[in-house]
Amino acid sequence: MGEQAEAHLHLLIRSLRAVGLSIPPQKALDFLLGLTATHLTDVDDIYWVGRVTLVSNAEDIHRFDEVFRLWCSDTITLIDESAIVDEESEATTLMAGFKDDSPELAFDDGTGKDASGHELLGRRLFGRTPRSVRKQCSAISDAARVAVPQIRIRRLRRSHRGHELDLRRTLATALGSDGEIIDLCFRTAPKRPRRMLILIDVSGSLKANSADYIRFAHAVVRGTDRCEVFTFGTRLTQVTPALRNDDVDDSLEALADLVLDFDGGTKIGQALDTLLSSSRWRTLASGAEVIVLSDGLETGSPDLIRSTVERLSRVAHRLIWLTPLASSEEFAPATRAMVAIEPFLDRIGSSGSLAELHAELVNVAHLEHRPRRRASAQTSYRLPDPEAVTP
Amino acid sequence: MTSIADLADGLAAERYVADRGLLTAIRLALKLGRPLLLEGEPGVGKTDLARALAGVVGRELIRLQCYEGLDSVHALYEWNYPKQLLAARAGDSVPSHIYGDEFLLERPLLQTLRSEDGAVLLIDEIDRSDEPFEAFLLEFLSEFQVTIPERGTIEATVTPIVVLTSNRTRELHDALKRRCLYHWIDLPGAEREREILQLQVPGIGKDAAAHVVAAVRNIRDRKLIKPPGLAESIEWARGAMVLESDGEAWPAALRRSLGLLLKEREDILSIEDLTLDAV
Repeated sequence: MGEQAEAHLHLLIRSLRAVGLSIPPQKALDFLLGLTATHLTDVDDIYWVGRVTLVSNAEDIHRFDEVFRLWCSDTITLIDESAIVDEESEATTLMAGFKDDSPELAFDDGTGKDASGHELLGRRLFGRTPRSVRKQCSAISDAARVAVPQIRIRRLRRSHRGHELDLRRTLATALGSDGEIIDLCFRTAPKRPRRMLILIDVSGSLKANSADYIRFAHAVVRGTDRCEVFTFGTRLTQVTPALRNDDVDDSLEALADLVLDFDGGTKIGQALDTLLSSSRWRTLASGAEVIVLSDGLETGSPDLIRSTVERLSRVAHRLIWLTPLASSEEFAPATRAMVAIEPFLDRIGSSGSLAELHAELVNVAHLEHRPRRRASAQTSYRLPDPEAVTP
Repeated sequence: MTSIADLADGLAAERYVADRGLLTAIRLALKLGRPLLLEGEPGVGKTDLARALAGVVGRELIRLQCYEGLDSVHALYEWNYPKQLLAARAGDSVPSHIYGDEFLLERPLLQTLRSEDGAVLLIDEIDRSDEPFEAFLLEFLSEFQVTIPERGTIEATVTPIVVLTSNRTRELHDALKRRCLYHWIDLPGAEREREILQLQVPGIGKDAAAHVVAAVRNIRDRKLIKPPGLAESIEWARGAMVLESDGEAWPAALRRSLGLLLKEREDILSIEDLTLDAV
């Protein structure tokens, strides 16, 4: 391989890294080895060798395609390489190059990671979370640790009180006594919390509650390690990564744009449909405790919300709908959408405040032992404040 | 296997049609000796590739189906405890004796390493296993060796060809991906899908195959709960062929075997308006 050709290949690798692909040296080496091992007839061969060796995520394929296109048309080489000081400026230069050329190259898939850039600007759109609220949040985290029902894992562990005979260990001890079994060793299936899925409605009608909803989700994510959170308004966004910040205010900040910039009606049915249509996302709901935080004020026809909630209910382990409207004494599920979906819900509860959310979270454990889809038979939409009950 | 063209011919003889990207991926996996990680929607032929590949290279196919809770006892090896116990009681309790080959039950991974002529190992639906199992696979995938505490490290006699598949129900660990070549299999285009149907469904004519493909593509364009993959359209065509050979008319045969294509009641209802008249 000529020196010039090699430099050009390295440029491709560097450009890919600059747009965010993770290419460890091993993969770069595979790429070069792959090229030398292939009888190259045209540029397609280089493309496929590159794609197979350098890409390791389906999401990265379109980025690879774009960079490869530019690399082939020599657009990238126009960048003065001596000016590249470090990776970051390289990225900036490249990104600038993209913007003229390919406006469709919006990389963000809305994980919320990108939004955390606001921390740099130092604005605090929600204001600091007061100490009393923080205390409430940590109580919610504690509650999440115990309230989320446990399921058994099939990977067995050694245990003195287990029920399954551990043949391997029993034999190993028996060998010490010439094959005479004196002690039996046992194994048991340990438990772990059931998966949890929280869907937060961020439409305009819920602006007053949005901050509390995010604080609640943040607290639950901290409390149990198998919780996923999505927000929905006009579109559905997975926000769990942004909620993994240690500090609740950082998480609020990261999601501020998503929550505050949105105004208008909700398309709940459509959002749930998107969730259930993707096999990856549907898995997050399957067998999970699903909590929807929404007022259920659907702008569209109730047909879609009805069919999607029915599907969600079938996929989920329990489906709980929490609306701020239920805080009022007179509440009854009377809107068209709520009437349509009530038969599929395991509980309708109130979400007007953090205390109410806390109570509903504690109640998840009680739902475990009741028959499914009994929201229509429930007597009260409000639960007593757990803080007030527990000493 | 010298070139991509040979590989394509070999796979076609095994009734598997691969596009250029997949061929490149397979060729590099063979040449560089790396595991090949295949992702794609369910039913695009990820698993079937391993079968076809084993036929092409003339090696045995060893399959490891992943599931939650899969551990080394099911994936790697297990000792034959009753036999060991009997041997120990007969006074043969020297460890090197009772951990000999005759007491070792081989599971897929070990079977692969000890295969005399080399093997094609299919690790199917790796996304169904849990993270500890992924970590356990790392040594195997990078060095093609495993460590058994009582026996030490066992290396592969012949470097195995390893194919991993994932439906992407969860993200795999970067460390695992770094060790693999990666290929995303898309659903084939209309022409290629027809070619595949003709290879896979015995006796189907060109027109009938094209008709099935057109209908399936129409159905995929609709918003369905579970859009049919390639595997489903092959099953559908096979089912319809069976009914047709029983004397059913072709469009009616297609309609009556819809249950092979769509697995949700809502989906079947939503395509009722679709006409399946013969071309």
